[in-house]
Amino acid sequence: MERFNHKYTGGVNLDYYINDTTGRIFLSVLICLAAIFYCAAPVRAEGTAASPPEINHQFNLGTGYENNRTLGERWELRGIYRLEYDSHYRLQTGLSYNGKTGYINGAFLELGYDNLKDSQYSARLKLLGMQYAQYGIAANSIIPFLNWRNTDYEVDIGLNYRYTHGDADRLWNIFDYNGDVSEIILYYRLGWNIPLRDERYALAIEFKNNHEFYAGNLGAYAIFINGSYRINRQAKIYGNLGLWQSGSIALSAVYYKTTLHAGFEVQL
Amino acid sequence: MKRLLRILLIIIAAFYLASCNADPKGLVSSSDVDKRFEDSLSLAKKDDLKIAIDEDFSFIVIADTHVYHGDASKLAALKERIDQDIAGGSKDEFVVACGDISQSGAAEDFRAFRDVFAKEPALPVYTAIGNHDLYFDGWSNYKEILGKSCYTFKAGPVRFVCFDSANGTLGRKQKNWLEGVLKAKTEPLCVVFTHFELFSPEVTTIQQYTDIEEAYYLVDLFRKTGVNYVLMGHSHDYYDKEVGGTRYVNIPDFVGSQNYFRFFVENGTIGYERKSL
Repeated sequence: MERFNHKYTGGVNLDYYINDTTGRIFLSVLICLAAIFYCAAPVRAEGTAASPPEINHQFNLGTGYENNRTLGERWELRGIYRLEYDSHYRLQTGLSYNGKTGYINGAFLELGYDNLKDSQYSARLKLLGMQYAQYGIAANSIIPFLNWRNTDYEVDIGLNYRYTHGDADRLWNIFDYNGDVSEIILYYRLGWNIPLRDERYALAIEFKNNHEFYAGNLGAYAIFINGSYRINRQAKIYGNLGLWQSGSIALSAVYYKTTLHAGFEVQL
Repeated sequence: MKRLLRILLIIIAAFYLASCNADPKGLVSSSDVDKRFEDSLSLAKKDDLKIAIDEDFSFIVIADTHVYHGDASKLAALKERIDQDIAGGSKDEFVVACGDISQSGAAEDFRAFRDVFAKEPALPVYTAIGNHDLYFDGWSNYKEILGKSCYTFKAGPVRFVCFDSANGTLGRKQKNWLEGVLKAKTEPLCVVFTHFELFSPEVTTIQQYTDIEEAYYLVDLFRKTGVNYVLMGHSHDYYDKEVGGTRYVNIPDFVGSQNYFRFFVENGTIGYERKSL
């Protein structure tokens, strides 16, 4: 007979489980990085004079509003910086501020190698911290994922290794993967760029369980309608509407929340 | 385009098949948690159990019974086992069921479940509503036969609280009610039970409470109000995790594993054993 008495006599020791899982995750991240560096081998034609690598900087500043049926309303300020080097290497980082709680509620660092072997595939690694300081809980994720895109469609698929802990002293370290609970969740995005006659305008529909500062559970998916208008070669303004459900993966769907984001993007 | 549509169809089919037994109508006809909360306010109160505050007792916990076509024979075998154990000295006072009582919300399934435990010697049973219980307008059957979707009752030194997570979310009204109940409790021990699990520690566990922010809100509420145990079901898996001093125990499905759990309240502590028919 298996009998437990946890409440006052100590609990299950999760150290082995966590360390074992962490080890496996870092191994898989290492393999991903090795794959990225392998694929990053030069593909220039022999004998061609090398042109200086192109460097692009992009800044994205935006604001957001969310109406959540359970947790209420909130607003957000967010900033994202992206560096693209030699049309292959990519570094992106961002910070999100929750105007309701007064806390930073999300930060990420994303590394990637785009257009693997000059294909439409990219390999990326996202390190995401979701800080819920109002609840004294942080969820830090390591997300290796593959991206495929052409002019009409875009797909992200990967795994979200998420570590949740409730230690207030370690709340702001987004690289802390010593969690009370560790979970592995599918990370996905399917996007369709609707063709428009005027190239200054763009309209896309996305189905996904994440956005820049959030990587949700498998069933936490939403439909996004993303629109933008390019002012000139350097700048564009955008607006995104997200409609989120709850329970539909269990065939008990109800409305969950609406998110609105708007801002501008500048390329230097 | 055709390829993308094919991929989308495969994904939708995978989600559909992942939800236990597929019930397509459930996708579009589930009731809303706010409506169930409103309905529950006017339904009969769940009675406290007459157990002295210093009296030791035990209770049985099961989940995901999925009674189908009125066949509750496995549950009848469980009731028989509990009766034998009580005759042998066990102090089982009642049964807690963590949702998905029925396969598709049919009245005959809820009645079959209720009747098993009403058979003499009757054992009180406290149920949480699950997503399967909502299918095919299941709520109207559930409330008529099993009653409220969220409620609280007292047994000895333990405050029990059941909340409705069948849509994977609390809703604002139920959130306020849950906060009120947990903050006002005076009992030294507290057990919360519901259907949707708050975590998914295995990669094969693909369904859980929808929004992690809402799950973390609950974890924080349970930590602040001193909840000892949170009992859940839904994924049919077993796990036991401690977060912030609260133990989260996911009860495996009774319909498949025929596992049941006996929780002991002894000398002001709560412990449990996992058993199988």
